[in-house]
Amino acid sequence: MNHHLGLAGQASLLALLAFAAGSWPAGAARAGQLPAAGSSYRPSSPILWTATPNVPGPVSAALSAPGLYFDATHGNQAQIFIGGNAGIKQAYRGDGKALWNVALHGAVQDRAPIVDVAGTNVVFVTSQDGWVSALRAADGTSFWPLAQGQIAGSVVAGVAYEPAVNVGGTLHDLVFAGTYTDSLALDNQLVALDARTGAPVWSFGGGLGLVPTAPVVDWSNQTIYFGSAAVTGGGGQGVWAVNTTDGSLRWANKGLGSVVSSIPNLSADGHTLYVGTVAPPGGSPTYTLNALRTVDGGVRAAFKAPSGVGAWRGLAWVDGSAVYASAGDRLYAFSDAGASGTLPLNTTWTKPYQGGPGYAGIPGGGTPLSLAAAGRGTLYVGGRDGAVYKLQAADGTLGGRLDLGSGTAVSDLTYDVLHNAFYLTTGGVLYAIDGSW
Amino acid sequence: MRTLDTRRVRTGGRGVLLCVLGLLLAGLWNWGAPLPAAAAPDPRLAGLALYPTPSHVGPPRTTFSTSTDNVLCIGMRWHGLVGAHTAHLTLVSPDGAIYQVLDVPFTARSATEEQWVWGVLPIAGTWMSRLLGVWHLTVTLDDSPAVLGQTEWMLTQ
Repeated sequence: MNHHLGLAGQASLLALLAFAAGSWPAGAARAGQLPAAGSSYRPSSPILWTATPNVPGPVSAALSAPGLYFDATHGNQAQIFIGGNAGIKQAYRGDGKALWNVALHGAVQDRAPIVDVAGTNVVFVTSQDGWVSALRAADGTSFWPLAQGQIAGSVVAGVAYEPAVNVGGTLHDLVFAGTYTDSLALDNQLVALDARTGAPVWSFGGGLGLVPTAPVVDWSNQTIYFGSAAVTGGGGQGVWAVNTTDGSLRWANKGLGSVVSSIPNLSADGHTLYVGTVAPPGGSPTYTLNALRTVDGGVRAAFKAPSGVGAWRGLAWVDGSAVYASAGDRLYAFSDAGASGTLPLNTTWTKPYQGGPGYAGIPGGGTPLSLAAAGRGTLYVGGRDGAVYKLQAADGTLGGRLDLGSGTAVSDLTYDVLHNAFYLTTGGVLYAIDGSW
Repeated sequence: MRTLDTRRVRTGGRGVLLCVLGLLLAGLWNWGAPLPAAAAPDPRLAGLALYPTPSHVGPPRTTFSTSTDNVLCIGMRWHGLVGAHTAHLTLVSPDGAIYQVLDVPFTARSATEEQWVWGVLPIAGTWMSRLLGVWHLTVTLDDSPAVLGQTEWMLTQ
């Protein structure tokens, strides 16, 4: 199992790949082969089924990217979890049947991880009204006492998780979340909660700007990494590394600028942290993808997006030395074998789709999803135009474009390795896509 | 500065350009000026404007950046209300879909004095960063479907 579990990142995108123990389930039944009530089935299309969540009041089109969990007690049936700006959290079975719906009152922006906590599978989700909620995956009921989990006035980014952390001689399973308070007081905090009870265990603060994206944890080194954005008026920006056993600062790199929409991610060996930054905060910004040394936060290599390209968005996907990341309307491919100086572009991407050397043209793309670990040389990414793009990882050429017709942004994709299906949201609808598309 | 803008802006092509010009011009209207009757079907919402912080110090904004603005602060100036109310702020993204309905409960202290009420929406780290273009905002109060105010703004990289 990957020990770098930000749980908003690669591990949850490529759900439970390790669970499959390397065996590709070619004969496995596909989610959606049995259409469920309330969903639509389109056998002639790669769209397996769609589902629209029940939302009180006006329908909000903004839904979070799906989280995924396999229910071992029911034949590893997939369970899919989405949230939305209407303040709901809804669970679906792998065939699109709605399971439960919970009103969280605050808008839900993040992909929620599902974690086994003392034998109970728990969905951890943040909401904009400042709560971290723990819901039982089975029925959506609260796993924590209802009063637990409010950590601030506002929380946007999702959580990270680390089990069995020795804090002062006591083992805790910890859930981490950063607060989102735009105040010159710089009083934001990274909070560690006990995953079993929701009780605060420690918090890290001290000059911290708001935390807009999910942290990533290196379990083997008891270190959590996260980025912060400068508050309005200035201050508090940077990339931070904190000791998960006591909340003490390992290092901070405040000179890189703000982390705004980039989700930090670790290399497989844990030696490099990839994160996009915006500098300076305000004025004419420069957007940089940094490869930081996790030992001290120093910049080993970096790539500045050309003027006018735009901000780094989502997670930089790491497959060994291959790194893929979205900026503006481009999907970049890098080849990082310990480079210093400028992060080198992948030289085999000579004529990629709608792009130039080293990048493909994807309108407003999000986090790319690579299936290299499943033995496939393809990349998938949702665009801002209601389409999903499939690219050949080797050269960036187009393998397919699936227009879902929403005309709006497609969420990050989640891959269900057991059922060979992608799950995504766009236009207020949850889609299951045939993984062989 | 103008506080309400009743024009529904279409996205795409020349419409966007005209909208941007309109927004720029709208920013020159006097915030304290009386609202056109057609723009304010209900006089209780005396003003509506957007700021980067929940403070009406300085001019309101009609353009926000996903790179440099953390939050969108929606300032409402209510008049003639007493008691507990909830303002419903419906934000429509450039694709025409409802992005979020923000409920802002507040208690009006005086029927004769104006009162500022703020709705705050995060920008950094949210889906907004992928929905660039012209956004639309409408305000309703309590259970009434009547739109008391509306405005647009441009979200840029």
